[in-house]
Amino acid sequence: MDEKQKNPILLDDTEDAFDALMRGELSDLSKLLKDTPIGQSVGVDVYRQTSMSALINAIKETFETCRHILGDDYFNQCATSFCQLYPLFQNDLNSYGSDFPAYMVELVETREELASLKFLCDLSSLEWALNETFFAKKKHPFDLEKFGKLTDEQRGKLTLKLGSDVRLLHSHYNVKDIYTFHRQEENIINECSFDVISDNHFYVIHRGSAETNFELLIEQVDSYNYSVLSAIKNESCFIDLCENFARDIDGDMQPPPFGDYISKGIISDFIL
Amino acid sequence: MERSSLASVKSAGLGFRMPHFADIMKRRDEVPWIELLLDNWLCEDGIVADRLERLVNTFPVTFHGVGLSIASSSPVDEEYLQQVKTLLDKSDALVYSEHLSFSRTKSQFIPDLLPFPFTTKTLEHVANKIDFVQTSLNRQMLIENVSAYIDFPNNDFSEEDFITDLVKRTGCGLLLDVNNMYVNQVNLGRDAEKALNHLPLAAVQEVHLGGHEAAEGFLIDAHNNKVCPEVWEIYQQTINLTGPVASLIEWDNDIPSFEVLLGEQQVAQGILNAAKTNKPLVDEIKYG
Repeated sequence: MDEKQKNPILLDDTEDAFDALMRGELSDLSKLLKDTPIGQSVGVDVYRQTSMSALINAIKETFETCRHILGDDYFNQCATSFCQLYPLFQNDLNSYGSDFPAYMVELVETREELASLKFLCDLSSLEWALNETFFAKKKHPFDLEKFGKLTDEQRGKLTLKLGSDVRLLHSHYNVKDIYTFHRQEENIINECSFDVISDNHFYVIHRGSAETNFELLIEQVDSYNYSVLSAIKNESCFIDLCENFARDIDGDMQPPPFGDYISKGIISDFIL
Repeated sequence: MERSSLASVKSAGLGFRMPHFADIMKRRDEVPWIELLLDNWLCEDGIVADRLERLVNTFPVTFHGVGLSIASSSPVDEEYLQQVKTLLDKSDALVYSEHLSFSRTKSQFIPDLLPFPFTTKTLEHVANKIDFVQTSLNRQMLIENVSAYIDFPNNDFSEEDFITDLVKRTGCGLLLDVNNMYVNQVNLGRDAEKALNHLPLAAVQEVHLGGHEAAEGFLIDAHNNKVCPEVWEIYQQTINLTGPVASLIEWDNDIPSFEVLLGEQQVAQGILNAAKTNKPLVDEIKYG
């Protein structure tokens, strides 16, 4: 029996060895290799570094503001440990990083030097929401004509749908201001010059109303509108929305401002 | 309906990258065709679909994938393949190409083009997967030789013999990356010229040209530089053998101005123009 038959290298073995490499274990892959002019260890290290860099770069691009606040070196360290813990499960780097906000919560809770930067957790959630909004499907305009033809009974039972690009965020910090400040190039070196306010802030992240509008909007709303939109997201039926969120305006009980939501593209459809 | 073919575009194209969107639309007449990195365009909707529509309505396009993972031990991901088919069909793609490598393991995706041993078993496995892909897509695919930094001791084949057998068994085409050949020569001690003479050059439908980064004693296929003189030389040798063939400038990192990119494309076009008057040395498939 020749050497190859005695010790065949299977694709499975190669895959397992690369899996181990991504966890930071070098030996499995080295065992499978022959010597080359550049040397096994150099070659293995190139794969470890290029694969890890691709993941880290995806995190850096999505969480650009967090990186700006933490600084390159510190952020790289955080991103590296995140990438070692959270493999890429989908074949799409744009979808990589959904766990980063939760990871940021862990970091802020356990690292003393981050104690004064608790807002980073919500800021990373905002950046992830913006990433999802950017890549969300195109939405079609709300079909007002079809809606107008519904009977009262049909209308009562329907559920409204938020646009595929719409994300809701509740934060105890004014993360929109923090985000906007750090996105301005002239502020790259400056310290944040406003107070990070600990309060309730409600945001709707979306792409606006026009079909071909891809501008990312972070709209601050009050707690009432946030609650209505959360109820829509949770599929409350139309009649419940009207009853539970009716409010007194100049002596008149008014339903939520569905027309405003529709014109802004925040509500884009309904289901009977 | 007959599908458009890359054979009709024997010119130098550009690998499209988003920072050049405005420039390329403005200077469309100077760019005969573009290649899109397939996996970046799989969204069926949203901003990605909007940009795609504008590009495919302006340029002949080829699609170059990184996500098929043809050399994984697992079967082809049929859901992914369906997405690929939808994209190729709706974009009237001239060509679909992929890498002779894997990027998917049983537990994760690794964002790289990973090498594997060239054995009889892997040949059969990869050939079966290529067959499946071509049947599912109802089109020929091109397979690209990749750059590598490691090598396996138990190969039954050289890379060029492995590729030759794949082409023979499956009828797939070849996307020859001449920079990868040079990188492998330096990193692994393979002989680019010998490889060129053993490859099934009549199956070459596209050539890739890119720049690498020189590290200490080895090269990284970073697509972040101009094409180096040694690679231009291998390209010239290739074109001498094949005659004019669609050729592409790839530049993915440290992306330069559009002007610099066009400069590289014009060098390639010059070599192709000169070759038009010469008869190719290879005009039928030769195996081995």
